Amino acid sequence: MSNDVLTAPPTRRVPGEVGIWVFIFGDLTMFTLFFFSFLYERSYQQDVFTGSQQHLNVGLGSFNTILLLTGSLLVVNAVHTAASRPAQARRQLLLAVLTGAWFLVDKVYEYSELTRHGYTPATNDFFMYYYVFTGIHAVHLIVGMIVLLLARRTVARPVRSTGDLRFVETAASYWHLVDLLWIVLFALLFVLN
Amino acid sequence: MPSYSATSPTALDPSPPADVVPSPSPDHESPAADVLRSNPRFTLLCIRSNHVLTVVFFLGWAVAARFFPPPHPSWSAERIVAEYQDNLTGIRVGCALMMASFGLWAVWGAVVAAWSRRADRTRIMTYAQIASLALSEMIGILCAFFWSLAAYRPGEIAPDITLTLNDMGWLMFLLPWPPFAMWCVCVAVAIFRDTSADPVFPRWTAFYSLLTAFLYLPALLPIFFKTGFFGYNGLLGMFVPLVVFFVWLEVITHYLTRAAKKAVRAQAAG
Amino acid sequence: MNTLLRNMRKPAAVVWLILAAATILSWRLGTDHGIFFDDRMVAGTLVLLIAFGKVVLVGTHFMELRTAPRGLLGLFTGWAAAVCLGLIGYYLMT
Repeated sequence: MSNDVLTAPPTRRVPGEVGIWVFIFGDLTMFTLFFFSFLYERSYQQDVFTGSQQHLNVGLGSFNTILLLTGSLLVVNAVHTAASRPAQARRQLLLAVLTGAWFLVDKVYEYSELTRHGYTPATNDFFMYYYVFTGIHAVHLIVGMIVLLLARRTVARPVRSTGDLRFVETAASYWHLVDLLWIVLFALLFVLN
Repeated sequence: MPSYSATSPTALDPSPPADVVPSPSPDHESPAADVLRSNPRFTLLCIRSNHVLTVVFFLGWAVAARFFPPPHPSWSAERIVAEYQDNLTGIRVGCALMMASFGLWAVWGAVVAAWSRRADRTRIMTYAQIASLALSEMIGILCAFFWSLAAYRPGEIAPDITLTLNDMGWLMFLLPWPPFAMWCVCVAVAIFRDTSADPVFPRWTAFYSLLTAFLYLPALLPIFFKTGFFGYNGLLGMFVPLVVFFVWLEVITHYLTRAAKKAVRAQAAG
Repeated sequence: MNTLLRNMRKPAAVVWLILAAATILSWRLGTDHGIFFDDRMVAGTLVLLIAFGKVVLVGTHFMELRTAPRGLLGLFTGWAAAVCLGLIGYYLMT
């Protein structure tokens, strides 16, 4: 394994391919609308929002945030070893997928705990936003897990092309988007009061 | 293109690891050339119909029927009846325009399908596209139909019936988003599978199509909410899916137009 | 284990530690801000700043925007800064 940085100046390149960044910025735009509409609604019902937030499990939310961060770290390492040590990369991609799975299990637990205590999307506007935003995020996460599994299959090929490696990077970029969206959702839904 | 550096993204590695090969370069001409070669002028016309149809749709939806801004899901039945009675002719004419525009979109959709039939050699995406396109058109026509029905006898029948027909129109507009998403996904897959030397669609349009499919997702929410941003009049529940649909049509049209114009010029020259 | 130790020295792992610590800090700011500040507005502002700081770190170090064309890096950080300031502004005004 070499970590040589050559004397030639590093060239700047788009991580993955341009298209994924079109996707990423488009998705970020939609979520930006989500963020602002949440604060808008909150401004009219501050007490309801702050009161409802108390029922969320912030500790679990923090743990979930760290889970996705760990997944991202694993994905970063997988991208760097996809060409030179594919077996390790495949292992890390699988572990990243498992962090996503653990996140989903936690989400299911969270939802069931909340509904058990009577807090559903219909309870009030805070819970409407909570369930809808985390639900849409969960769909993004599931797609992210599928995409990482596809990347894992690509890395498994006996001979990988530069296009294959580019696909792995593209998949990684999408995964980091999922992580990034959760970071803001966690702050807005769980912590901000 | 600099070769991929796997060990460190900041370093330019002139020699990739031994078992990484360069991607195969495309060696055949774009399948679109084949599709467009037979009658490029007519095809160009079909492609350009998209612009006309979009204008016709909005003339119907926004200008005639005055559905912008939309009615509110929480309005009473009497209020809805009054809304329809206030603009009876406008709504009836607007719906006729909307139904016409959606029907004629088949031709535009067919050009995209014809292109993908050559781009995707297994044909699966083409057939799925045709099915999704047909469903999408039908959905559009049905919304306008239900609104027309609501404008048939408002005031003469129970207000709740008019309310329900109005709801049917608006929810039909949004809840059946999956065929629209499927249409985008099929086009995206066909674009990804196009390995020709001079593709009609740059690869980013495939990602953009996938993004559009994702952005339809909030359209499933209006069934749950009668107020707020996720209702059938909401910014997130309605406007975002509506706008992204028409923007996607324009993006696809742009590249089809470019390819068709090239084919027209080639035909004129040779 | 060797892989883990080798990874710990890489910048991505260090960034992960910072991000994890920032998450815990956010958590405490949100729930026990009485300990740090009497003013919940200050806590709220800090929470948003930390969140978007994390977002920028994920972008630059995980998504490798540090080595991306400057336009892309600029667009990303520009978006993060604009949304962060916008949200803080709106939060403080209401």
